[in-house]
Amino acid sequence: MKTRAFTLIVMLLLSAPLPAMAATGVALVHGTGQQSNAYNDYWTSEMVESIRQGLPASSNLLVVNCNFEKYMWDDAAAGCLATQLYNFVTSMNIDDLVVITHSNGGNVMRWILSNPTWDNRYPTIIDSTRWVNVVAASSAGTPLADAVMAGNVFEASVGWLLGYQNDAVRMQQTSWMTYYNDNWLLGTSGRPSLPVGFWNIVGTDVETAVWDSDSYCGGYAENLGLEITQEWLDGCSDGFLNCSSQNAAGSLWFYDHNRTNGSEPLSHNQSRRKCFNLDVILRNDI
Amino acid sequence: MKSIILKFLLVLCALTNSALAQEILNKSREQMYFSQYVAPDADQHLKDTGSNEQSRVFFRKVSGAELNRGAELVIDAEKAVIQISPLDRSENGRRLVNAEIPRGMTLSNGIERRRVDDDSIALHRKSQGLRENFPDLYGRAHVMRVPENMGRGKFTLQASGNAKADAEYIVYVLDKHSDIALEVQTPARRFARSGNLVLDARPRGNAAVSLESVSTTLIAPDGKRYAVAGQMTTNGYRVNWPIKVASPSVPGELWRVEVRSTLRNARKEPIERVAVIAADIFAKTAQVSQIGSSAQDLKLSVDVQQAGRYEARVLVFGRDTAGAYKPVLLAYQADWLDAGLREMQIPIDQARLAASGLRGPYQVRNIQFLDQGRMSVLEYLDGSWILQ
Repeated sequence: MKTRAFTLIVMLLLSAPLPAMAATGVALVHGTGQQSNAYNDYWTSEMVESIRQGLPASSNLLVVNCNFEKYMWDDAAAGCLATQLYNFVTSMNIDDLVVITHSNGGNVMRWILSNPTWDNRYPTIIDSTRWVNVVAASSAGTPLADAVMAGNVFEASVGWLLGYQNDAVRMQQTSWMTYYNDNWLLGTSGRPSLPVGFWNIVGTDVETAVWDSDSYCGGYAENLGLEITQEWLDGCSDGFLNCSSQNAAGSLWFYDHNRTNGSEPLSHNQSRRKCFNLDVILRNDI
Repeated sequence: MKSIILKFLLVLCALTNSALAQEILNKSREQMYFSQYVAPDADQHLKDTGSNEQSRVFFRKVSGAELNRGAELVIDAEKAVIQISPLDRSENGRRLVNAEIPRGMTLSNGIERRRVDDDSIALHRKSQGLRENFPDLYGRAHVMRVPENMGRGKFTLQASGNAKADAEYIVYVLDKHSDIALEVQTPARRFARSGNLVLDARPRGNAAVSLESVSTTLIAPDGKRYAVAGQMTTNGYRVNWPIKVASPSVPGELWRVEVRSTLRNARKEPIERVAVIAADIFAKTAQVSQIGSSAQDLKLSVDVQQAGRYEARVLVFGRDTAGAYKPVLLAYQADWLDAGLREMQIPIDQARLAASGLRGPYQVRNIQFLDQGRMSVLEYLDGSWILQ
């Protein structure tokens, strides 16, 4: 946290002075999937309303709904996210935006931060953003996507691919993300740093036991499923992503057990829910 | 004879055009500039670092008929993970959906045979959470783990005769605890259509492991597969293949370089490994021909073969109090360029440089030049262009 505060001070010193009355806002960016009601379906109202309590003006909160089944650069993904963020910061006069992303939402946000000349709204969004709190980002992809995509490309003699996976799954194969990280995205090792802080919260494990009430936060069946997918992953994972992927871009904010209540790990499902004080940690960072 | 030559040339033109007439995704004609500070203490650059993949995975397509007979899998280490996924097919231009795996499949190690939905094997069966959480990933797939007490070695995955003979499946095996891997290295992740695909492959891990056979396939975004010629070396394999492909590129979508191998472990068992590298096969739509610098900007002379939206990014370095050069600023410029000799001028914000705390003379050391519309990185240039 010290490093984080120091970096902030350096960035503030380097940047133009903030206006005296900065308007702070928060945007919640979901992960893979096509959302029309991310407030209830992705984050749940308990999580969103708890985070909202950290805002000086409670109306300055945006829950993004986009189609993140598409590639990150697609109009339905980054284009949609840019529309919603741009309209939010301009209509609410937000000049101090904290973005909270989950999973693949971190990639779509990083596309915007890494490609400022792609769209004339991107610079406004970047300049308005204080930092991004990146929960369980799939920055280096996941071996689960490798497994499900393997061999799933066929002759397109009839004009369409027979593969049944969506573009976002294809994009999150590990070798694909390595390519994008090396050529189109910023913030990974050896690449230029991102224009704003990109602070990773890393989920390290999945714990499920029928007698342990903690296993039920976010849904017992869902957590059990994630414990199973750990078979594909490294010793440190949240059931969907290796810790190394979650911390591949930007900077480490914290590993779950270092800050959560009871040092509980956050599974990939729990890290978007009101579990183990995560909501309060995010709220207090606004 | 003349008509044959003419037809040949027409076909060649058609192939070339289909490859080059690539969709332009970003057609904006707006000139845009942006600059940002970068962290001065982090080692950073703009360059293609190539790839180094180590795979403990193999996968192959099997038919229902093969599953009925029994598909053999040689697994080097205990507790491997196996996934079987049904594949859709096309018939007379129609998509035939295959969403189910055969019921009652078994896994045998030659001593005992267990049903794959036995609690000791089936990961999938234990929870509907996978399907609920990740329908994109697990809507159809069946995941199992070889139980420790079934050991390692040769296994047979078999359907009980109820798999449709012409149905197709992908069997994917992660030999997670094996120390045998196939390593594939490439010098770049981007290959020009007019250039060569270059890679090296070799076994890694156990010293006794040997490379028995290997083959490489380049798979286009449209699914078309190109056999890539390579040569065996001393317990290794090298490819230096002139790229000849007709398939078009799709903006942002990557090609797959699939290297399939059979290795022999210390027990002389055949161990399969498949490594996959994602790469861009791009057309050289423009080229930087000259670079000039002044105190305020960097100028690129660009030979544009195909009109489009292009972007240049430059990484600027300055000196710290000890005189050491450190990265300080990343500047971008994007513009629509018509075909012909053009110029891109990337402004360098002198006020921001001065405020950075690092001193001049400032230098541009890395340039990345992109076809933004077609989503290809065309060039990385290293040098020392002094901004004065």
